[in-house]
Amino acid sequence: MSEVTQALEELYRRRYTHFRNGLATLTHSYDAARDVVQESFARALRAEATFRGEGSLEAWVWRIALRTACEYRPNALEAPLEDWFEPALPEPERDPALANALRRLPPRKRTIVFLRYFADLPQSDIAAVCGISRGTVAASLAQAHATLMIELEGARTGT
Amino acid sequence: MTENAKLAERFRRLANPVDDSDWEAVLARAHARPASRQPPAAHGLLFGRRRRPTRLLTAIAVVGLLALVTVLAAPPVSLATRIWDMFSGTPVSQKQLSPGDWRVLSASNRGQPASLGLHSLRGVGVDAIKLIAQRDGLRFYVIDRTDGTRCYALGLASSNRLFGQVSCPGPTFPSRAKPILDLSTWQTQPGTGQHIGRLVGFAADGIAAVALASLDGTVHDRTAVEDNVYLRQAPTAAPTAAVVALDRTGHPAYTCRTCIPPVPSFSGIPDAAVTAEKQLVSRFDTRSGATVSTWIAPAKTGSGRCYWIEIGANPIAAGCPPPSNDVMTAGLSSTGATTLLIGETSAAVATVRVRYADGNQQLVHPIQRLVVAEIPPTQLTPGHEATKFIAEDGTGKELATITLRPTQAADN
Repeated sequence: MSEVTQALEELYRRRYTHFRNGLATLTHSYDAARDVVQESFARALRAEATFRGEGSLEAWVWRIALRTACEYRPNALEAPLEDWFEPALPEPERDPALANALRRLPPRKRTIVFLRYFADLPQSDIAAVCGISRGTVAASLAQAHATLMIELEGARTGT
Repeated sequence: MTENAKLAERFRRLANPVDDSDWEAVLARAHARPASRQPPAAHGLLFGRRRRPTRLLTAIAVVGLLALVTVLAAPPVSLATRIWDMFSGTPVSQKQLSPGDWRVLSASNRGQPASLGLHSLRGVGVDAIKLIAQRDGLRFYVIDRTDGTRCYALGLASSNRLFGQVSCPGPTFPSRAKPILDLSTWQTQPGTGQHIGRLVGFAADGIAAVALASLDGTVHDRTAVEDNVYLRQAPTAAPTAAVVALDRTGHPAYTCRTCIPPVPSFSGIPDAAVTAEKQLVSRFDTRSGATVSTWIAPAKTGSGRCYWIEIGANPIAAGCPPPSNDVMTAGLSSTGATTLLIGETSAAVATVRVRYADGNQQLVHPIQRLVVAEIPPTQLTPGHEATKFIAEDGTGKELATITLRPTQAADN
């Protein structure tokens, strides 16, 4: 067994729920997200020779997982490329106020928020996954926090 | 606990803690078959819920059919290889922006010009600007906006302004459904079809060339795409039916008929309009005695509106464009006896200045953000034709320019 295979197994066992929960915000279903995680790690195993170790293994698998989730969409060919970034809470009824507040964010910021809090990814990995700078991730999170707090406060006070 | 920590905790409470992982299943999947675009199970996203066993064969058949359609329909355009980084280029410092560029960015952001003191990229909704290519004196820029969308701009290298034309197509470009953003200039001559003045635009990864299709379907003026852009200064002077994007094998990956401005063959008002609420925007008589009327009405769906233009009782142009951040879109449309400037502007535009090759100018004021005006017959002959449409705000500041003849654009 290669070192990368061992590292993938360790990553899978340690971070499985984070992958599934993060992807569920994109697939809108835990069942589908589980399937995407399984397929993504299978693809990573098949492609492990292409991992050059230039970034974190988790960020590399996340990039595979995002593409896989994209392909799993039922209308993957017809929808605009960035339209699939329509992340949402997989169970919005558990916190409707937060679900509504999240909808106020542009899809890209929502994705970053979910990668940070549902997938529990550090900012550096989010930057690597999304192909943007760490500063952009930090700024996006700060803006998202501000928007969410305003929306949640508005929902609480009924304004 | 800080506000951010409270928010993080709120998310954490919503996360599903159940661990249903199965590494052995991953190994089996990895070794069972090669990578596939097809979902492995007949449940989940394709069907939304698990299917009853009695429907399994049907489900498998549907999956198989979808797989076949996917393979057959998938253009060989690798659009998903870089998810958010479709265009790479040289960062542009905000110090390079002229006052006119700031106004264009601001107008694209909120529809209002910025005050001269507001010189912060984030202040005008911009994250970063990249120069991705330069061709034949023309520069191509990609503008990353803070709201996650992108705008695309062209500008003359010889100008002290970066942006001569800015387009903000929203999320539709780049996509498999729309792999090119065509910013070509067009002219309609009386009695003939649409002629292209300059073939230019942006292309997604996987598009190797862009060409023109004649009315008879002949593809010509194949222009290579390099660094995600294409440019041909003087394509064949023949009526054009479509712009065609070609993949690396030379096959059409996308045919854009809507890249060509409205042609005067339209009849009938838009089906998508709430015609009961139609409103007359303007009415004037042309030099030949015809009456030109412009109408608008709310669109039946979405937040947009529809417009249509009639000469006498005959509709000659119509559309229900979606809400746009573009400062100005405009073109010429002719019925033979009458040639009209037809365009739409942002709310910030107070005047559209039409410049002609002989030095003459014509001022047109948008009404309800629509620009409709007759081009005098004396300005239709070679040497006198329109060369530029310039959008200006209430102070006369230039917000955007559409250049019809690039050789005369050096004074931009």
